[in-house]
Amino acid sequence: MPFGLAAPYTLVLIVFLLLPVALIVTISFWHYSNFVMTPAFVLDNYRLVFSPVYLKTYLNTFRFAVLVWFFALAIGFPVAYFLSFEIRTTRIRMTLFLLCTVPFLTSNIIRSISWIPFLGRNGLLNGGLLFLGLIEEPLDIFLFSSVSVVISMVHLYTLFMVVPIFNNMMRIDHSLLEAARDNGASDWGVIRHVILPLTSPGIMIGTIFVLALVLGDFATVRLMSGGQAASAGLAIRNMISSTQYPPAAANAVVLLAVTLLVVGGLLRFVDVQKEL
Amino acid sequence: MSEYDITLQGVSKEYGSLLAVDDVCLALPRGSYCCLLGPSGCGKTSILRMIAGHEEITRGRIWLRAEDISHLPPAKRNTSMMFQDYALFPHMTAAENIAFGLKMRGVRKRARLQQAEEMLAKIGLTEYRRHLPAQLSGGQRQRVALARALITEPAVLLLDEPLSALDRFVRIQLRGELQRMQKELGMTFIHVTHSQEEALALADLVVVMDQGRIQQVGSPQEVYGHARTSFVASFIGDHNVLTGRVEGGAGDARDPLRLTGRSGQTFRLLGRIPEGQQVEFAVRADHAAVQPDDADIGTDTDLNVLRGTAAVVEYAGFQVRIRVDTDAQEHFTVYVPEQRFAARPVTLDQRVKVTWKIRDTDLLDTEPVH
Repeated sequence: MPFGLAAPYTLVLIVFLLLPVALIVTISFWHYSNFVMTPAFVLDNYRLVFSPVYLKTYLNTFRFAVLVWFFALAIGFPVAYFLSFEIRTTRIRMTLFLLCTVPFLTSNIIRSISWIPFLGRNGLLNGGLLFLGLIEEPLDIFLFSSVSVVISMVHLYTLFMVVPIFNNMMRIDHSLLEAARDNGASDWGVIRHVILPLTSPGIMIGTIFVLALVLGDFATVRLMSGGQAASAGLAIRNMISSTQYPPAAANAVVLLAVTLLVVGGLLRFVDVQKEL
Repeated sequence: MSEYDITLQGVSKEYGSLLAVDDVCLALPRGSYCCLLGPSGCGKTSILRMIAGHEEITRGRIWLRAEDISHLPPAKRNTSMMFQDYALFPHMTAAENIAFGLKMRGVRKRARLQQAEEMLAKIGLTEYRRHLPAQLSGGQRQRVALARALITEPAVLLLDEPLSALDRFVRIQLRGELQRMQKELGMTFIHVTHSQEEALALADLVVVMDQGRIQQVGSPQEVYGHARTSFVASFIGDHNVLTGRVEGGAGDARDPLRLTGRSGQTFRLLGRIPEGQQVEFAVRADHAAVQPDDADIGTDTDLNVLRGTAAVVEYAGFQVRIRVDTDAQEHFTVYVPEQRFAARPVTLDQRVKVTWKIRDTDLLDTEPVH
């Protein structure tokens, strides 16, 4: 009878996750030509995925992943540090933490679109740089480029880095920091030798979140690159819109495998059970 | 100046509007074991943390030997702190924890692990060098924390309730080790505790505190034998504090001061207080005797007598604790050695009289010392 509690969700996962994945894996081996696909077992679709064009797409996807991860960590770690160690009262800490999550009350698409007026040719950023005399004429590199994709993804995903790190830091006994200082550690020494090692599980979990989200993303890439940049997710989406289902499925299988490999690799460094 | 390791000059600490430490002056002789004793919130931990540099001083100065350390960062103070609950780094082994201070001073890995190894041997934990703190028992953690604090050879070791997290057996064992360690190193230890037993057992110098002020400074014998204020007498325990009004008497042995207590009984003690004044005095529980009210105590004029009812009679092994309540609801506790109680038993609710010598009656100060 206790299984009854888990049964509905198990059903949902079977019908909406396991079956579709099985279907995708099956279709990825089907034969297709001229908008017609026929059941078969061929590797043509995978050959396409591993062609130089698509490999480049994957490389680009990884480039996004690494850049977004780097900025999310560089921005998220100090925020978590500030909330955990600089703010003394729980009330203010929780208020500020909730403020961090406010943008999440808006949809991802809208939050991405909001960058357009800022980054555009006649946008605030160009205007500001012109005003300061740092540039002679408006630059086009900010919008509809890899730059705008990375900026908007960092904006979307940094919180996923902040939360697990913050969660880890909140559990650090402040007397450990004092003990480190008492033993002669500088501010940086405290971070390097005490806080970083103790928050590494949080950093790992945040990394998993960010990488999984960026690797699977297609909407942000499409919207913010204006077709100027490619990612694996976007490639799949383009294949689907031109009804090339078998290669899209093969692409999806490869992307899924790559993501699972990355996540699996990272999980080796964290004791998830301990973190829950 | 230099015969003192730590000198506090009018040190105060305010948290907002709360005065946690109030103008404290204190000089701790070099190589002494000093216990700061008091209830929670009395300011003892604030003083320790200010000496360590983990807390800013609101007013006053702190000297380490001839150096003014009032505003130096913790690392520059040549003091070392052992934290309550030890604050061992959970991700480092026992050896790495001990070597941490050397690592921060830039000692090479080999040299610092070598020194940590010597420390491990000294505290008897050589086989535990690779254990994480979570894999050590409370007593072992305490030793590792002590070794970590001592490895940089500080001038003064600061201990914040170092034994309170341990169970009684380990506590008494480690208490002995702390004392031995301090005597061997000849280093000044400043030990914060709320346990009078611990302070009396360990200290050369006991500093009793209440509400941010020092109530009494002295050797354990001085503090226990001659509590100066009613706070010290009640906090140290084993003391009865009574109040009375001075009725007359010169106050010397020939003509002692005469007081009337709350229940109308007369007591005599030594001390010079003008007539009509309200005073407090203390009597140690083991300095008094109890007998049935009709017992003959002879004509010894050297005794004070208090009459009342035996309200509590507790067997406590080598002694029996008897609480006598007067008609005015004053409580007076007497510790009677087991054998003497057997010879002259007292039963619950029996009318009894408590007797003690006039010279065992300590007049208390009403104002705390500064």
